[in-house]
Amino acid sequence: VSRVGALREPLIGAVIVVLLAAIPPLIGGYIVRGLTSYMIFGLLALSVGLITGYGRLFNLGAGANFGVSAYTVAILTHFGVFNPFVLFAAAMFTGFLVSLLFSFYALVASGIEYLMLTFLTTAAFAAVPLATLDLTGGDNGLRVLGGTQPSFGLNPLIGPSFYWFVLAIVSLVALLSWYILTSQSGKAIQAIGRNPGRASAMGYRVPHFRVALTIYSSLIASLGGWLYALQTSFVFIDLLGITNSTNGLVYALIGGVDTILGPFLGAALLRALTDQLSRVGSQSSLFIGIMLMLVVYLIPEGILGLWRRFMKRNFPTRGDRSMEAPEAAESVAAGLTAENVEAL
Amino acid sequence: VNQVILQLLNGLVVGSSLALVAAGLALLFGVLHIINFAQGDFFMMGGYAVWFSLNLTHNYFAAMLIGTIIAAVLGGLLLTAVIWPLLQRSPVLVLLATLGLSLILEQGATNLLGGDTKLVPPPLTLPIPIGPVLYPAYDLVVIAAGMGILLLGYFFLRYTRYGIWLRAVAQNRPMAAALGVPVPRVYILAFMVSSGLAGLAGGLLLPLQSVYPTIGNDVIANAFIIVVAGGLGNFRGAAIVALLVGEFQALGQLIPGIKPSVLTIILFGLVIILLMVRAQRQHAVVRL
Repeated sequence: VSRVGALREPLIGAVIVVLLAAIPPLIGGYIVRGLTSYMIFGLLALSVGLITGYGRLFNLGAGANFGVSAYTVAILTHFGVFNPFVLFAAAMFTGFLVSLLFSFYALVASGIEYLMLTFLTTAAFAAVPLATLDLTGGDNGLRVLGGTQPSFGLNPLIGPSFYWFVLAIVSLVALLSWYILTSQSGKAIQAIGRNPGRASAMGYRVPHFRVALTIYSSLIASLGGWLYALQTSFVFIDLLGITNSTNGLVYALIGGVDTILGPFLGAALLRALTDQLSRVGSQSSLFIGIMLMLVVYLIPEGILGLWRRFMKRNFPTRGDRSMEAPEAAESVAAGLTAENVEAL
Repeated sequence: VNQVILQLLNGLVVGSSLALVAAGLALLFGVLHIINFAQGDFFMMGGYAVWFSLNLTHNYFAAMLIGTIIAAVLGGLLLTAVIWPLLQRSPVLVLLATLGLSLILEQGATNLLGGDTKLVPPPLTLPIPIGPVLYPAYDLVVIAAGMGILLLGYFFLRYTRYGIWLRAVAQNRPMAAALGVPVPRVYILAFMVSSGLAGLAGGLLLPLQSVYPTIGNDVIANAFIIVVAGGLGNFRGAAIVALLVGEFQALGQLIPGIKPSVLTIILFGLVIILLMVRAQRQHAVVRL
């Protein structure tokens, strides 16, 4: 029973991946494009979810990572670089540079200070296109040139091939994240998140793990930015700024930050709803605001967290008990009160 | 030289109004250890409140007074409703709730009042000679009012009963409560003073900058920079840094070939470095 319990999340994930791979191409059309973008923003949300849920560092700056990588792709195509591998490598490299900045923050700050630093960073990055009009097009945004060449010849608008491509990448990232988090290092990361003082006293090197987690989650956001540039062939200033960063955090919080599937679920739910609403009128920020308030007051542990708590109470398995510490059922919020922020 | 004097004065106008917004933020952080993302939207609310009361009364002074009171009461009520249920919870949750409130207020203002810019002509257009330059009288009024209110706030915090209670709660909440300070009342006062300061700044700047639903976004980033650089929760520090930031942006415009966005990036960079240095000095390498 315990083995099944431990493998439950990847099993559910595998079922979802098979369904996603098979069904939408049969239906086709708009849904395929919609789901592709949900998965891409799911990567942004997963990035925030990992650092916020497991690292307990509230990151309000993931948009900087996402946007910088997306802009890298667009800018390079204006210099005649269309090789998809070069573009991918460049997007990940600039994402890595940004992640070094966030790593510094993870070393010197936590709690509110960390959140303010990431917020100021994403705000600063959003001012960069305005300062470099020739390179980035400023307020007008920038097109990605080169047709389908940057996206390995896959056309995001026609057929399911680009959709499968994104699905494959997302599945790999999810699987890798699950593997890392269930490994010994992943356990250490979670222990540090819950109580850095205790983990440090037990001999874990807190700075190392925090930097590793920051870089890993930043690269996931960069992956999302790279795919976004390929899918839409257009990048604009909001991708870098507070809007995108906030969205990432809200998606992750709604889905549940202590899980891997949760951020994807949150991204899909919210983007589907805002897409519907934006057809009626431009009320999406009102909607995001209301959802954020609802999550904060009613389900600070997110939808999957709520589901997990429900399952655990009603159908406890041995696997659950052996894997998780007693306080694991506590929400992220409850955990935060005592540890990171009290130090202020 | 004329240009420099002109920009110095412009910097004071921007700085003194920013100081009001930032002082409100700093006060709230000092007393409750929370960051209010909706502070910029209270600035916007103040602008609209003054615009409406001006259309009703046609008296600028009365409109300012009414507008500020509306912003203080409405903002205080909103903050109380949003923050009260979360008082025993993580400050990060409070921050996210005010972020949600900010998004709702912004879109709500667009829905209710339209996305267009509301203009008001300055009540005083008389140019006043200052040294070699002629400067509009209303701008001087803004500087004087901003500085005056800040000084009043300082003396209020220093000498009045509620000011002392505010500082007592900020310093040690359980001890203050044990000594008989009515903590809930102090909280509500802090909410109202904080949003009132932002509303007043919005009203003061209305004839100069006009008002539109997303003006809060333009204000809040600068206000955050100021509060962070001034030392979170430091009323006086926030006021001083606000004037510096105003001067930095105004004088920066004199340097040829530098765009305002470049100045913004430099400013963000400086504050990020400052915050990192300060955090490092306080807590060794990692805060545990």
